[in-house]
Amino acid sequence: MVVEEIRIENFKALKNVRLSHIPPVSVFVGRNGTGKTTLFRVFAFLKECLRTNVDVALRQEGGRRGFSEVITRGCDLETDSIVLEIKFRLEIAGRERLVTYQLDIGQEDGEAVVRREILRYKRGRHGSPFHFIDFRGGSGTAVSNEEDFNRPDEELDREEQKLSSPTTLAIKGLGQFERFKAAKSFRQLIENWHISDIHIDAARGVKPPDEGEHVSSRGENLPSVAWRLHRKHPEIFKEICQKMAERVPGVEEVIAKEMDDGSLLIRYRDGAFEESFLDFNVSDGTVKMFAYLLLLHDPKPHKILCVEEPENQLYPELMVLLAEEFQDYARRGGQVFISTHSPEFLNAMKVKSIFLLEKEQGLTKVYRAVDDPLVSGLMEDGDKAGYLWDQGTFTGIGHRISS
Amino acid sequence: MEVTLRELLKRLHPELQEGDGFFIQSFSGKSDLEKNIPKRMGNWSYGDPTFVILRDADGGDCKVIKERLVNLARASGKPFRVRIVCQQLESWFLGDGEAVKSAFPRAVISNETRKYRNPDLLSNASDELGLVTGDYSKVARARLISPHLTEEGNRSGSFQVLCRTFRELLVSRI
Repeated sequence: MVVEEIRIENFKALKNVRLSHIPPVSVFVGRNGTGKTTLFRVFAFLKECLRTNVDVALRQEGGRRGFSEVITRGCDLETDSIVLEIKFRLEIAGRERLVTYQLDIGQEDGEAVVRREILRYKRGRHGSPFHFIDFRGGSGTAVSNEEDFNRPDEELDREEQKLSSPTTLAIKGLGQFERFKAAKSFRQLIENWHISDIHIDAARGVKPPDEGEHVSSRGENLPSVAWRLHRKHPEIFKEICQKMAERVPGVEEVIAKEMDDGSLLIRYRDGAFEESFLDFNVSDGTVKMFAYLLLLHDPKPHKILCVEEPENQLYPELMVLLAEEFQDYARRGGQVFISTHSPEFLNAMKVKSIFLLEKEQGLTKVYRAVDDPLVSGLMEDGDKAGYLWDQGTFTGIGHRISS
Repeated sequence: MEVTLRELLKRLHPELQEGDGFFIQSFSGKSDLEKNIPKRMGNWSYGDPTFVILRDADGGDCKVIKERLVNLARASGKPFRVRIVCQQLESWFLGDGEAVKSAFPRAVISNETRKYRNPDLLSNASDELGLVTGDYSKVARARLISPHLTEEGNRSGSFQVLCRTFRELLVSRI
């Protein structure tokens, strides 16, 4: 598990949201419009800030008007900032430390800028915070001998750096260089933060070879991933087929086939027939389930995975399998963020994994189920979260949790 | 029913917050309800609520149903009331013609309509309400009519009993 805490300020309806004690598997539930998608968009936003810059990311998120659309309504466009803060675990000088990344985005003269960007570590209760990176509006300092961070401040090698633009992230610029290890690590963390959004139609059909060995965000490279997995890790591929056979009616075997011209496709064999079916002729749910299994059994898995409403197109009994697969993925070291409307999926979750979102006066509030004496009490006595959710027990959680 | 109860409690007691001052637990059908009564009541450890168990008779024998639910609830040792709506929730709406008219202005109904003089005796209140309003969606009707329901003048006995129950329970808390 990597990410411990996420704090968001002034990002659309998330005016002031803090997720703390984030477990390996986090499941977000809430009515439509409570902000679940916005929360997941924060992850995508951060990725885009890194991939290009904050200006592009803001336009992607807010349309042409960018910043003014993304910052929470009611904020002062000239003085207020969108703030994202992530606390994560990082190994420095042989030990795992809790490091904080903070990004403040504002608008100056109508242009989006990174007001402040800090990567810091608190050296115990008595030490001053150690800033690996400290940038304002495109320039700042970065420490290049992090392994010596136990030394007093004067002995640290701080380099003055200027970025190509005040819209670029320092971790992007610096993260390319070996000597800025913390920046590099965090950059890799964000780059590797996988947001899964399987587009079933895009996943079907004949595909070119060499489309990679990790399931892409939209899943359109399924044949390539399946083909490679089958060749390099046949035992894993077999396990996946077995799970499909057990849970998906009519799928005894999945075959990744190479055509004469080198292109790839997937066929599904129903035990009842000799000929296998082209993936155009199997249900959406079958393709999606296969995609998730490939994603979750990736021999080189993503450290962080986000999935919105995995239950779409999948029949309720598959939810138990899917829930187990996500939990297994977490047990192997991954961290997962999931949003759901499925009571069956929720039933398989432990109380500490559940976050409930509510909208109060147009702003999103996030509550942990574990903090709710009613829900956590009932779950302790054996009641399942999905049933409780369905029965209305979560209603009013905000009134029961004293801040 | 959940929709109607929420509206009712919101109006009878606007000072109470759902989830803290009162709670609504909805179950899917009678066996789901019965299965959950002993567990939910027994394990409830937030506040010290009185459990009001509410069910439509919907064709069954009101007395028999009540007795069965009472037996299930008694085992928990917690305070409770069992109220059976004879026969369907929609009797409450038919008992308040003005409320129906407020929600459906073209409905031909009033608080004097002879046919609905004793709405609790109707075996098919839901169908009747459909005929009167032209709307056959239970949830939509509940959403539209419930905000207009009033206790006084409602000709449904079971509705009067429920309102009285809520009043008694909530007064005894003060």
